[in-house]
Amino acid sequence: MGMVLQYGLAFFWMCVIPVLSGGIFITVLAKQNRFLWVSALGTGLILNYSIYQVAAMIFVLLDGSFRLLTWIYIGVSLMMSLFGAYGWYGYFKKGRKNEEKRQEAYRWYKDPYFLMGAALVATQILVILRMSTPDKDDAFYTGLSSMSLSYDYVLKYSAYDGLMQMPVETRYIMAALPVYQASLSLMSKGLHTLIICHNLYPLFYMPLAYGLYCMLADRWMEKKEELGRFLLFFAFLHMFGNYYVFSPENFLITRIWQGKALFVTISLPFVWHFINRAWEAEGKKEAMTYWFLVAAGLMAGAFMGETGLYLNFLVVGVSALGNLVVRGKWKNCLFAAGSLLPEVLLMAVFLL
Amino acid sequence: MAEIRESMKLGYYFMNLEDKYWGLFLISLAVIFFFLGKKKGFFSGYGMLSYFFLLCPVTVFWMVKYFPALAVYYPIRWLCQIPLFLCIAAVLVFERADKEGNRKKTLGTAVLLFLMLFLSGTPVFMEENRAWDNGFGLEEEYVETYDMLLEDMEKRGMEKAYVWGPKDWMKDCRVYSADFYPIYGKDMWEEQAALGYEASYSDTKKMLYEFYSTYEAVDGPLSNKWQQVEVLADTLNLSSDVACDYVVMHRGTYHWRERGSKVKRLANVDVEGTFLSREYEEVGTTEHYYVFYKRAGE
Repeated sequence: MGMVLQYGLAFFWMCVIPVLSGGIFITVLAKQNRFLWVSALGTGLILNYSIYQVAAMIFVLLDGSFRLLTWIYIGVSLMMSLFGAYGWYGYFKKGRKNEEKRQEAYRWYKDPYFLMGAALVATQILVILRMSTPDKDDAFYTGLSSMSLSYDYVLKYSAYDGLMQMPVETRYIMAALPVYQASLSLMSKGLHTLIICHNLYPLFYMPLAYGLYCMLADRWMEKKEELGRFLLFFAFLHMFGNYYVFSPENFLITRIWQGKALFVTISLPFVWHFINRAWEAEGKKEAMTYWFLVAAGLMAGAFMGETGLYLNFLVVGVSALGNLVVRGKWKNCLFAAGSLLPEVLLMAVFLL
Repeated sequence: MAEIRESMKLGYYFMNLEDKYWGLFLISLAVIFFFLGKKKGFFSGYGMLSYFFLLCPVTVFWMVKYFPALAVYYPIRWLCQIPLFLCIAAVLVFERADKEGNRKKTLGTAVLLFLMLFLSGTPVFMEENRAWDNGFGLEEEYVETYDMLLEDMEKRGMEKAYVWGPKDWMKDCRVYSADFYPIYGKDMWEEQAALGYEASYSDTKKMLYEFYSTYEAVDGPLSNKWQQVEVLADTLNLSSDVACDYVVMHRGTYHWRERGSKVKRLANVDVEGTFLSREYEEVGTTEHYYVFYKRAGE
């Protein structure tokens, strides 16, 4: 019974709260694509991650308590969820008919290609749950989580040897994911961080990642029926993408719990998606919402790993240039640059 | 000129080693351009730009030159490009074949597409990726002795073993197996101030540590290595308050003599003979180490 409660709480904090938080932007999200749940979950996660990152950085600077950080995060995320829940309420109340119509458009359960693709994804999840091979990086990250839980500090000492010495390197301080995983452990009544990372992350976030890719592809497909074929090819491609240890395919299906993997599979595509949507936005409010989400997505990238910090600049730069050349609207480049400001500030605080 | 040569080398490296999807990506751009309808403008234009800025070896060379860290995570940036573009192109080709209603052609196209993806990549779920014999990158010579110990423990029906040996060997043994119990931890030699607490070891253990350190060092209070090895074997034998089942000693222990600033190697010390004459049992030898079992009650 205790375990069921722990898993239930983990599901609540890892999926329910982000979906509810995503509801804050529901009017904008619902307007642009039919992958609403994927979009809301991803947006909610990005919001939660970016807020946690900012809070954790303040706690690192002030040498604050890990437990206090977790309580503050709980308060803020619950508040966001309340706002989001209100958004969802309005959406379902007003737009129920649209919702039903949208779901009728593509019957995935009748598409054999989609079902085959989904079976491949399920197989991948099963394989990673049964045969995962945690490495030294995992030992280090989960070590950081365990040390936060045991000693109530935020990214203070290195977890390389388990001794209370050697301040953790700046590059690790700049990514709060291991501490967040410790918070998840605390919030799910002591569910071990290893279980959260190695079992729940693949179970919850691999389908999200595939959903996200489908959402991206769906923007470009001309027929809705093509989605099943895309998923099948995509899942198949991921099973044979081990050409390099840092390949996106390798990251997604062997170690999605690591910061770099989350960065590659969740943050980066979302940022790309948000930038494109911001360029396509019709009104000022919609555009500003997406630019805000781009900034949050970049902060979430930093939360996942220091790699995110410097690769984000490149991704924003190229995406902005691509959109500028193909679609024009040069003023958007200023917004793209503006969305990088929070991250620049973060880097300045820690590197200078 | 040298820089151009370097960039060509980098391009060659990526094309040959890292991914075979490189060519497929360019083909997929062409497929998207010809087969996609209204949206092809953005997609192929964007694809070409991202290719130029993110994938082209010459561009990457310049980026890596100024941001060396990018070299390691170079393929990360492919995420939004390669898998997405490849699969959309594959769907477009498949769609084209399916449109004609010829089942054989459709099936043939599907098989061809899957075959291309299969042959271009490397399976992620490979045995060598899955099972790590030495996932923590321990020294192979240590691993050899750990295996030897575990095998011997199994023969003797021991569930755990107290071990004594070189510093780093002791430090790593617990990483390899939780059944090893070093007679002292690395807090014996780490600086107390850095640890933030004082390690509490018995005087005997501190003495054993001093003796082993002296034996491992080229110079020390006892310059006679033979004598040092004898002292090690005897002290452990006589220290009834220290539980120890196995001792690991270096092979090739030599007498040394200092001559000016140089150290000259003299004769080899018979470590094996010294220990065996003192009621230790030899478990085995590796290229670098002897492993002895200390008989219980001796």
